[in-house]
Amino acid sequence: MRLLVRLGAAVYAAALRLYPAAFRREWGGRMLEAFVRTSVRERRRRGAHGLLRWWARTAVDLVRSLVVEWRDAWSDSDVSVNREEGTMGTTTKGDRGWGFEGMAVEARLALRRYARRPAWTAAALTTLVVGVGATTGVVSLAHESLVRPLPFEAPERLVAVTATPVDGGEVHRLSLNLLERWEDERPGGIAVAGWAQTSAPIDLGLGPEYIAAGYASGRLMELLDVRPVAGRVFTEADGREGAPPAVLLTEPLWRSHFGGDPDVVGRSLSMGSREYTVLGIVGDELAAILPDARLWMAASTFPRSPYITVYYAVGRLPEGMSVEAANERLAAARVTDAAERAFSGVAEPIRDVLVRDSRPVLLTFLALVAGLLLIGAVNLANLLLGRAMASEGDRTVRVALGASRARLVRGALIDGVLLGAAGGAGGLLAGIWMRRLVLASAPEPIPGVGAGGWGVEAGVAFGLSVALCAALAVWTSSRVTPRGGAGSGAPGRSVSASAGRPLRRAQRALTVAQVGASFVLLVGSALLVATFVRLSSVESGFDIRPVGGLTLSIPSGRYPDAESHEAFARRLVEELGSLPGVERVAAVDRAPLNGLGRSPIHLEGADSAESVGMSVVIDAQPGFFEVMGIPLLRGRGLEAAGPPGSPPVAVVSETFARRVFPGIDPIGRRFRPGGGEWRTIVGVVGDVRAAGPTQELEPVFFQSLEQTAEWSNFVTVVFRTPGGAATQLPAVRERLRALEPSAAVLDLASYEQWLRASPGFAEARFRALIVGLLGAVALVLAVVGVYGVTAYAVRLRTRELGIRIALGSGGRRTVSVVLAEGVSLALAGLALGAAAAWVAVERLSGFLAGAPARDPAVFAAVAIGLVAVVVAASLRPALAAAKVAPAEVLREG
Amino acid sequence: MSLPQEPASFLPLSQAEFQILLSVNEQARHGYAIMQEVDERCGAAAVLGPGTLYGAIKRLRRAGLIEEVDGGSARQRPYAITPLGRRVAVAEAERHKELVRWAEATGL
Repeated sequence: MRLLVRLGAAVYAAALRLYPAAFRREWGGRMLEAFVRTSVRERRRRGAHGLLRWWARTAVDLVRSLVVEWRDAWSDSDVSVNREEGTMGTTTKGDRGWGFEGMAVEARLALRRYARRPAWTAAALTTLVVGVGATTGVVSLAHESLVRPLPFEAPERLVAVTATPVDGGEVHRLSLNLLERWEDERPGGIAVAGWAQTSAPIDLGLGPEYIAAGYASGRLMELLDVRPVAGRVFTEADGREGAPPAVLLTEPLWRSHFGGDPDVVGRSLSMGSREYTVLGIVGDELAAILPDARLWMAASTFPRSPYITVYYAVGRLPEGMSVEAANERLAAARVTDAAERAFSGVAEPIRDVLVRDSRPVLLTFLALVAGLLLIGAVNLANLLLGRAMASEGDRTVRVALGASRARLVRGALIDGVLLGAAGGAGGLLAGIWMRRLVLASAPEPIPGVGAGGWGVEAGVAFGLSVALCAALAVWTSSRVTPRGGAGSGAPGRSVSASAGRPLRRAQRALTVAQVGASFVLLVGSALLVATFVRLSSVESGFDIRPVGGLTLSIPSGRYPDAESHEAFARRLVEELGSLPGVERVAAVDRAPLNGLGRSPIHLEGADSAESVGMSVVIDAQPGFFEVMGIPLLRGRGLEAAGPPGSPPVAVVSETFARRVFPGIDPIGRRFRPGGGEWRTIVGVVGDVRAAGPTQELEPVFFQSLEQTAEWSNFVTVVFRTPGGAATQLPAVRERLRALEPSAAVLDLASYEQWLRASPGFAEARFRALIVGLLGAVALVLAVVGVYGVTAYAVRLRTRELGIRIALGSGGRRTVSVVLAEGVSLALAGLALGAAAAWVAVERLSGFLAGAPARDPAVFAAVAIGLVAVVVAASLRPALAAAKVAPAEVLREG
Repeated sequence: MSLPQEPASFLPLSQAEFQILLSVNEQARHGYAIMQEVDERCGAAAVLGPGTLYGAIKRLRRAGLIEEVDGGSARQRPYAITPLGRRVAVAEAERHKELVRWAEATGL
């Protein structure tokens, strides 16, 4: 970060040269010192964010005080200064070579040029800010997640270890039992430790609630070399079976809910039916392996069964050992668990495993952003070319008055650096915003991305912007060669058509490239947005707005048996039912759209041993259909079921009926779930997308909780509140606390909230949002580009068009001539873009929820839309062309 | 500039100039200290950037409203308010009060 301060100082020191020399000599040193000291202070107080804010303020201050000081300098001086931009000002006052003063004059001229063409300047700055911003934001995320070393000691020696059963069975995660044996035996000399994802019921002020947490084996902290912020971390002994229950709080949780109080260490924390001792506070390093965990529990309380396989293992290679060598040793290793099953190991670089899910998304964003940057650069080149052509006359005059070629280049260079610096600064801020937007809308934390420093990226963005602009400005200026002395064009007038021709060719080629690149981006974003729209319009099978759900668990041991759990659930249903505004409540064994249990279905008959397919099973109280608003299509609902022990009945979904009993009335038929009794179908209800909004419809059958009596310490109730479920949630929570303070809330949400947060939905929304944004920006840039080129072409052809009109060509015909120019560019770009997109979209196919990537309809729609936009962009210049007055044009010639 | 000056002839002061006068009226301060003091007193609303700050110091000194005094390093010499500066500051404050009174009279 010190690097950033130094970088800022260097930029500011360079910017000081823009002030009048006398002012700079007297005050420059002090200004630089004040700038640096404030940078250091802001950095210390508010971090990188404060630093950037200070830079932005200084940039504003710079522009403002530059104006004041130059005005001051001129009014002080006896030399009268030509205030109009032009050749006289340059040759008299500005001819001081590459010295500071000459540069300052050049800069002043450049600033004036920008001020005189606000629309042009806005277009150029927008292009820069958007291009640099999007690139910086996404590159910084990608860098942090994919490239930056993990925040652990010697991260290159860390590997993810998976256990492969020697008998060839399926590869699972590890059981704690196996992990501990592995840790003790260290096969191949590789130290191993592990962690598992969990959630912990902790009371943070609103009653017990589950928060994301991790289980750490005893050696994990030592292996990763995690240092405590306060207290101590787990040691091997803390993880052993029978050791006293212990937790570590993460720093964010400690700060947000324990006020950062160091005395928390050593205190006891009650979670579920156990008391845990807080051993210490850990920083956010562990977020690199488990992004959302807010506290870590020692594995001492975790069951040692060889069949609970939820642990991830991490290994540390001895110094100098390669991953290949480690794999050779691990493949030969044999570690046996309590079930007498032998395992060998496979090691992979740990980052590969951690970013497996987010890598393709980030890489796709990166590719899109590269496309956007390309469009931006093309746009900028185009804008600069246009301006260079327009000022060709001015340059010719400057050359005629003795300006050297070097001076023209110097002017262009300063011009470009100024533009690049302004765009780079804006781009940085846009990048921060973009990054925040990405992180805020990401469905889950991106591994390895924390609050994050900016360091390198900031410098890169700024340097990129400055270098790009300077290079383009010099290039375009060198493309415009003053020719034929001052005679070929009066200053300020457009040059003859022939002079601009090679430039126009370059400009048109750039526009074609731009339209092509936009097409690719737009097809990509159209596909992703269409996917999102499709997902959000999917019917869940019921009207979700008035429906809410509560899932909770009672600490084991609080109630002795199933009967008392049942009694509690009934009391809860009754209590919630008495809340004003709540119409109906029903208990259910698991929330639809959420958890799932599936069972094979068997039918009566000869082949009853053979399953006819799988079905979701939901146990619910009668009244469940009314709460959820699921329509009863035929027969009776769950109230048809008798008490426990009576003949079992079931209600099936429409899809169940259609698939299992095609063409037959299912009512009265019998079926049997795998291993269960025969059930008689009493009714058919509408379909419910039980597995979530993005999933396929599948068969569901319902049975009555009153009949199955499957009550446990996990309780889910759903409630219907016609006024909207979200507003009832606090009241529901209050009732629950009054009824059973020890109950830990797993989930309390309206279905609407829940649907928005569901994984498929949130991810699709995230991708659609980001890519849609990039697509929109690409479209805007393309429109600016096409408009600029067409408008300029009209200006160049004014004379030709005037002659055409004088010779009797009508207004409509003139319009079509100009339009043809824009459309021909668009069509060339489309052809190019379509070919590129056809190849490129294949990469997106994983994100489209099953829809084909090469969707001709999407391609056609984007093509038509793009052509329409291009025509619209060239319409204004075309209409202007039709109004050219021939007499005036010919007189000017 | 060497003629005796009426305080009113300096008015209105820019916000930066007024802030600097207020700051050095309290005690002699060098440039960066002024910047820090104003920042702490007013927060983000009235941030003085280096360009604005030293430009204003230059003008205030030239006009004789502040002067360099002994102390500090050669580079960070503190500035103190001159008698004229104090009168100008009082006049500017009076102008602000007038404005406020007018604002209240018009029903704000």
